[in-house]
Amino acid sequence: MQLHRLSGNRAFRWQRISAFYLLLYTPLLALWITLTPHATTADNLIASLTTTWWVIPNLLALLLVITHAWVGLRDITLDYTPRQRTPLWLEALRWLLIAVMLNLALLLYWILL
Amino acid sequence: MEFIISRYNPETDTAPHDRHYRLHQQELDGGTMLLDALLKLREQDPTLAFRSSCQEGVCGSDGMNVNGQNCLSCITPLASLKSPIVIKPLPGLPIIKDLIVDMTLFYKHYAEAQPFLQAKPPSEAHEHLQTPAERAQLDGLYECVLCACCTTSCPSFWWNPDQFLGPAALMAAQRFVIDSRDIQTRERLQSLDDPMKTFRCRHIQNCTAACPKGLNPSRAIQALKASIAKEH
Ligand code: SF4
Ligand code: SF4
Ligand code: FES
Repeated sequence: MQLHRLSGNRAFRWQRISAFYLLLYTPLLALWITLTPHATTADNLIASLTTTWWVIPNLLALLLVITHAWVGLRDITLDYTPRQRTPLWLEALRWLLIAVMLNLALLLYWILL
Repeated sequence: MEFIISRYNPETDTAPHDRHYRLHQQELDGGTMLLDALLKLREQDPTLAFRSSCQEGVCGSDGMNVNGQNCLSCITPLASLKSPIVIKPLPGLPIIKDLIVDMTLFYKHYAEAQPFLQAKPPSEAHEHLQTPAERAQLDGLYECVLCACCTTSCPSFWWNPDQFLGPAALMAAQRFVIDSRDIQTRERLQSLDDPMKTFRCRHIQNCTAACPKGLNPSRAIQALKASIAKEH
């Protein structure tokens, strides 16, 4: 990946959007878990979070957490990797992202079906 | 009053080293600023090198790092400094001699921000007019004296000095982006939409804390980023 192809503002916007969403989502999730009396085991918790009302916000949160982390990792890569190696590290980061997404898709398939 | 000043002569030294100086209050002849003390110290030791010109915070030439904080020595009251006063050159730029740094890179980034008005060709009837509100938007942006105190206190600049434009240049860019008379706004924003030139800024706000003119480069960069995001 060439450095000049990386967008500054797109990453910036996604970082803001994801942060804003997570800011709303996290307290709501915490509230939900606190107010759900039977969510005492992981199975119960997963069951209550895969109900119709929660499945979309949860999936969105998961994707946005990954996006947020990706922008952060990209920033660290741009800042701290040796200059000649930066494109290589960015490429590695891209593949890591693809692997995480595939893994997630498999996990969701397993949970939801 | 004790001073510990970083000394470096490229012709004789391999690395900067500290030198201790002493000055009695009476020797200052009523001078109250750090620059007054430095001028006295240079009488003691004529080999001590530092820049200064206007002596009143206008030319921006005497930026230095004092007790860990970048400042202009001519407007820094001695009474505000704890002794021993540790003076080093501005961090992050090559040292030419003692407290004098090479500002080439700083000026290069400033030039890259195109800090000049690109307006319609002037008409014969009247000058480029602005409303008082449009003019007021430039307040807090145009007063920069290019002392580099902000840029050289910015960790993002330390990491990527050759690529990140730094707070002074980005604030200058913002000054022309919001100027109602400028017609190159879009091109300016497009050229600044770059992860290295602009988006290395993390709003750590060292720049704002360092600015001896009380300006807020961090806020200007935030506004600049918002304009870039809106443009796309
Ligand atoms: S706010 Fe931005 S420009 Fe200012 S010191 Fe922090 S990173 Fe540097
Ligand atoms: S913004 Fe302030 S610290 Fe930075 S160069 Fe201008 S006057 Fe100096
Ligand atoms: S000597 Fe001009 S700003 Fe200090």
